[in-house]
Amino acid sequence: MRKVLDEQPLQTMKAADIGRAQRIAAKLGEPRVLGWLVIVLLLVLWEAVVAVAQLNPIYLPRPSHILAALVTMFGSGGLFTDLAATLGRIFGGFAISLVIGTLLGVWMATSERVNAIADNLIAALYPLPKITLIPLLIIWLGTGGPFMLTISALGAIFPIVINTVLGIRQCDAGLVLAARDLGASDRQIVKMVLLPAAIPSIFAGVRLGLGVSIILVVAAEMVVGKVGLGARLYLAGQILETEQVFAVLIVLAILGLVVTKTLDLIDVWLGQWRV
Amino acid sequence: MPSGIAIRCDGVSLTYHAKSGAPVEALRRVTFRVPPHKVTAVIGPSGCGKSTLLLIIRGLLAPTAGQILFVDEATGAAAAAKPRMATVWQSFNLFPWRTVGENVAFGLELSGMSRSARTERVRRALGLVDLAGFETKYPRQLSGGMRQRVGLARALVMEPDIVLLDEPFGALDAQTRLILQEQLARLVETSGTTAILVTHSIEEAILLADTIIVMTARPGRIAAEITVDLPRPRTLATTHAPGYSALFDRIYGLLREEVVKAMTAELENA
Repeated sequence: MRKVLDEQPLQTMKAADIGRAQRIAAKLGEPRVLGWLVIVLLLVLWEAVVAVAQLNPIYLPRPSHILAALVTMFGSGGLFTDLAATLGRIFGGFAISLVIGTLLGVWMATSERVNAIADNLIAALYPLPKITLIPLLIIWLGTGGPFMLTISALGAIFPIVINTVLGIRQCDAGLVLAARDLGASDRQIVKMVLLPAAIPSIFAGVRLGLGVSIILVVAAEMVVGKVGLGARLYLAGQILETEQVFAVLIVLAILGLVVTKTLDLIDVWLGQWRV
Repeated sequence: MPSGIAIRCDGVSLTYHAKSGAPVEALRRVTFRVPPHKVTAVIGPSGCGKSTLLLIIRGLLAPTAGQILFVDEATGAAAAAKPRMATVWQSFNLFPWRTVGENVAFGLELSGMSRSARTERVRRALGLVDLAGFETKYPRQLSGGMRQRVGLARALVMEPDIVLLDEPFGALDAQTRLILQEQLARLVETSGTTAILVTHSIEEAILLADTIIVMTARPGRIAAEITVDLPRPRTLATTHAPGYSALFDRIYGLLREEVVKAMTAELENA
């Protein structure tokens, strides 16, 4: 009798251990956790391979050294200034194109004449790789702030205009009738019916446009920048500071990640009514 | 009850151009009168232009010929001010990005009413259609019947002189339809609002209307104007009342011929 009682806590402990192990295993199997786990494993593998094979750090530095370089660059190397400059150019240009692009899109969607004029221009300019405009823009604007904002805005404006026009055209005509019936003026219909109806489509344009803006700003910085992540990246490459090259690439990757995840969150928030 | 404003539809015709460029005659010299504080139903085969007629009366579409007149019953002259009108749509046309409360408040918001005043009016209107407390739901979270009650509340909250009902229950299932028809019958009986109901349901027309206007196949003309003098309040039981069957058969007889004509025309055009 006593023996049985003694054994019972032991058994329950075992069961708890098994349960915990199963929970951990289940967590590891979760796609999101798995995604991060694979990245960590790759980094560990990278570190080990470089250390064991004693590769020249000019070709492939160790992740731990890259991390150290990143900390130093943020600490005393002024990487914050570069990051701030790049972010300012991306989002400054993007904000300009969001305002102008949405207004132009509304104007095009509501006026056949404006549409006829703008449509051909867009059809000609949209497929042009915006990066080919860098030399011309430098001739016109120099290499300072106006140039950077223009190149960034050029990247984002086309997808935003095109998607705004599309979104407004797809608006249910019945909603416009309902708004008129309730006494809406033309201006109120644009503001309270057409624009809200087009928001999912405009947002898809924002997603595309912001991606192009990031590419163009970093590329422009590599060509002419004195500050900015692109400039920093190019300079580090020139002097064979491979650790710094990797460090800047990591900052750019994280920037892309944060932008994408933030856009996802905004998308969910905007889509509350799309149950 | 104050003497109200009657609507006179005076020789209204509408011809529009199809995508191919061919002219389509939708309405031909439609003339009738809608008396105030009464429900007038317009019934006809699909495509006879009855919904188009409603848009013309509302002023959202200009007729090719003829006119809509608003007559002050007291003086017999044209009404000093255009009556307030609000429409209930077959496809509801609720703004999907707005909550139920925000949908109902839309017209009040346009008129610049303060938020607190709007909230109170919206609460009362939703109460009228048995949707009290649904302010924060989105249209997608509601059933078809509930959505159309929101559509009804959005029109009623404007306190219109004239309600225009464009096949309001056409998109709903038969049971929901029955309940809403009875509810609407109560609403028009108690409020005394002038209403024009476009429908293709004979039963709905008899249940709700004081006068039924039967339209022909396209081009839509008036085939007959029939007075419904069955006693109110009308409910589903009205369908067993004496006189109902005779009325139903008479309208059905008129409609059947027109529906066959419309179907033949469809076949020829296809």
